[in-house]
Amino acid sequence: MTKADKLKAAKAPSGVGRRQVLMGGVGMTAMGVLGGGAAGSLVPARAAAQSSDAASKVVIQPITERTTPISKAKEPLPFDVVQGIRERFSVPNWQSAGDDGVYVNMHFPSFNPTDVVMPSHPVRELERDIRPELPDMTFTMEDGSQSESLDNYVYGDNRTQAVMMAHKGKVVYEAFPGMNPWDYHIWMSASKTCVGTLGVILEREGLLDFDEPITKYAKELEGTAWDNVSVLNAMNMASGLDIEETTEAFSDPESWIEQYFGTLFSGEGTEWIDIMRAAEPLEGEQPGDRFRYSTAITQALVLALQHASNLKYADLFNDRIYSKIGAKQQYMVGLASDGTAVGGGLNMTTPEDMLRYAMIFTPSWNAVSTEQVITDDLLRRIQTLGDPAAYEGSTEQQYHAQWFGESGQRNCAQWDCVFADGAMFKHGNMHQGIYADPERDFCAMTFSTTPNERPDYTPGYLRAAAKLLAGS
Amino acid sequence: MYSRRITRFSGVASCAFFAAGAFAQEDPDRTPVAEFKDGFTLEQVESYRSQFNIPELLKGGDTSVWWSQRTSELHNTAHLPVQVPVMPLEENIMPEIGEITADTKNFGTLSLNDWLVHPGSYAKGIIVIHEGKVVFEEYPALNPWDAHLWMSTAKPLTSLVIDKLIEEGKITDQQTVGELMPDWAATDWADIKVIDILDMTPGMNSEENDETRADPDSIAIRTFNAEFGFQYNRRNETVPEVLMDAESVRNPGEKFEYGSPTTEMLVLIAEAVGQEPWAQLLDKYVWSKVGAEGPLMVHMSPDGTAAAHGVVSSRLRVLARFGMLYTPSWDKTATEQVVTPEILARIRDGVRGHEFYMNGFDGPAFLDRLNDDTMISNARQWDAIWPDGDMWKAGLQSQALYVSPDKDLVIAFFSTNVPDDSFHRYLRPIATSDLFD
Repeated sequence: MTKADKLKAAKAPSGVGRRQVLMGGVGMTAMGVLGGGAAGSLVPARAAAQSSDAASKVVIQPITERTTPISKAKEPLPFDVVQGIRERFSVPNWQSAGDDGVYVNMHFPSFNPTDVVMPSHPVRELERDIRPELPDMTFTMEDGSQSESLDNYVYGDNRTQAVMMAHKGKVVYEAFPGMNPWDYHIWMSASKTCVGTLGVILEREGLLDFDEPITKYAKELEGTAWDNVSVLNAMNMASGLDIEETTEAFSDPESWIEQYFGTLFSGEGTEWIDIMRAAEPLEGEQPGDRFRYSTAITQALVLALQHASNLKYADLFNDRIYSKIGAKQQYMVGLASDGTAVGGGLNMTTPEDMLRYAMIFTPSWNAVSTEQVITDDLLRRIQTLGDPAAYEGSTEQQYHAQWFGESGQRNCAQWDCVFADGAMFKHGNMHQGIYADPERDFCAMTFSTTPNERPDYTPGYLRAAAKLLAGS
Repeated sequence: MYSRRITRFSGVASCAFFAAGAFAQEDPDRTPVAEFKDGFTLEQVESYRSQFNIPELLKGGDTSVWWSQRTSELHNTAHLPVQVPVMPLEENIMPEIGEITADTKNFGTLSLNDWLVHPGSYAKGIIVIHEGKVVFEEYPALNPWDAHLWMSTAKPLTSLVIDKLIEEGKITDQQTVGELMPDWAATDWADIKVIDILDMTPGMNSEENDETRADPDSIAIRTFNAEFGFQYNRRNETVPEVLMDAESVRNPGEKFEYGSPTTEMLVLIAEAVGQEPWAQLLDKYVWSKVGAEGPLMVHMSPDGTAAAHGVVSSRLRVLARFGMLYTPSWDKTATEQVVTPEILARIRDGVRGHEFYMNGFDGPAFLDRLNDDTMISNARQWDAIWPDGDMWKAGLQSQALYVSPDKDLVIAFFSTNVPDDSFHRYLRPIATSDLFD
């Protein structure tokens, strides 16, 4: 079997778009096969102890009655089931969002080393003002039709695990159909907002100059095509490099992004950085021209942030943000093969702690914090950092209409979609999401383990709820 | 994923570090531990990662400090979240506890206060809880919220899980490994009773002593390699595989033969009987009832076996709350009585004799560590039980959990000190002072 054949055999259903992919639904499928031993690479000894045949065989566990309804994810699992998940562990299996993916999303640190930040400040309890009109609300979808009700969607077959919404600093809606409130869950690409936020914070502190080449800080990438990418263009995912996460690229085992994800976890040491150094500029395109989504850009920013602050990413996030938001439980972030945090996708917290983080972007920041972490001018900086012209016509833009029934104005500072009214949204693989709507003093989050090929309508409900509560 | 990278280190080889060094003064190569209160710089982390091997981690230097406080960076981890409302501990500070003195091994007689700030103590934090109230709590080199390795003070967790399975009628401590785990019927463990594993006297070559620690082929060293993802004979072994190779060397029950691999047998037995991963059993029976300030982290070997013999971490108060479960003030930290009077009685009434204790390698070592010879023996994963019913468990690099159920007292401390374990010498003087009568 050739690599290409194996790739074909393991390929996820067609029609999977780039946007679902943090580390790529399709892409990781390919990667796991491609990498040979990489299939089991996150389970070091186990995989290494197996024969190469066994190690290269990727088993994709489908959705069965084991996790249907998704409320079963709240229950502990028998020993042999957990052992089975451990033996089948591979990034493609995890990202396919089947039964095993549900467990991995809620137990990722037991498969991979992580950095952990303990809450160090008194817990800020969130008040409740549960609004009776929300469970029955609907929103107008892209095709003009009206959605089913929020509760029907959340408790239906979307495999949603948690949704929390807050208005004026109080929780107005919370649902935990597929996890306990104290369980933690992976954020996937919603993690990227933390990288973007730290970027603007360090800029304001004078530690990061957005006009400088990113390689001034991310010294690991010095002397490469990244020299032409400014921090600003990295923040806005417009690198001008041929590293975009497109469906085509994920389908090509020789593509740059395939090699990149193949090494981010399963390479040796800093191999993933070597792949980044090999990135090439796109012909006929300058950095800043076009929004082209790539987790590699976020990882370049993680390197830059670490050098600019001389702190590990998790310690930096704790120092500037997490220690100030009254979090109840710990923050965790998965590590790449050299110990660098994968700030591009591997944040983990409880639903409520994620909501606390979202709240710092709203006027009700003082419900979680004694200090305005995101000052008005920082917020404006985030909301206006991106270039609408670079967003217009991007691959990404078309998804936003599907999610919300309306398009955004631009992408900014690692947020996928910023609307003309300043509301910001970031999506994550397997249907994670974070929404902050400062104008309407509203924020929300969602966790799920939903296959990427399914459309995600949760974002539409979040934005419609904000409008409903704010009266427009 | 680390394993492939780190296998090039021979984790098995240089184990001379285990033999406590003779050097006693503060180590000029070490950073004062208090400096790490501010965390670790990028350069420090890079340097420690480059020295990631078992001898370095166990040596007790800066790399050990980093490992003990950032354990999840190196190990897969089961995070057990707090699931009941936090039960804040009241405080009633008794400064006189700090005046209690002990004869240290290398620095003469020092008060506890002086020990805590002595550069040679490498003490990081201590807490004393009496009648459910914090009466003494100092963090010379740790933030109260920082996670820290429990080391072997975690071992009583494994006996508690077994005792909960006994309580549920799923197992008795007179059953043998062969009865409980049919897959092990062909191993030398087959006829060993649970009680002899609980009391660290299985008669197997799973002991940790100077000899086994210096032997790369010993069960102890192979177990550590399996847990860290290091190879043995060019192969990654799993913890169960290594333990299956253990051999009987004498009759069980003859003497106290302390060994972390022996404790790991309790993990495997619990999983076989309870039919859930060990961390999940611990959560179900114990942790889910505890209203702690922060999570408990159970670090695991790459094959998923909980390294419950010592690679468990949390903030210091969480360790102390575990100790509180054994006291009348359990209701100040838990929503139900996890350690029942029956469980406590099984620990304290089943203690073997002092001669049994002194026959083994570690009994005499513990007398020296504590500067005390009044204990009876070890029991059910606790290192010493005294005639007054007090219980003590020590951990590598000087960690401790001391519980006096009768005085309703708990003492716990963290440090990173290999050559001088004098911190333990404050335990009995504190517990037997007249402050808690």
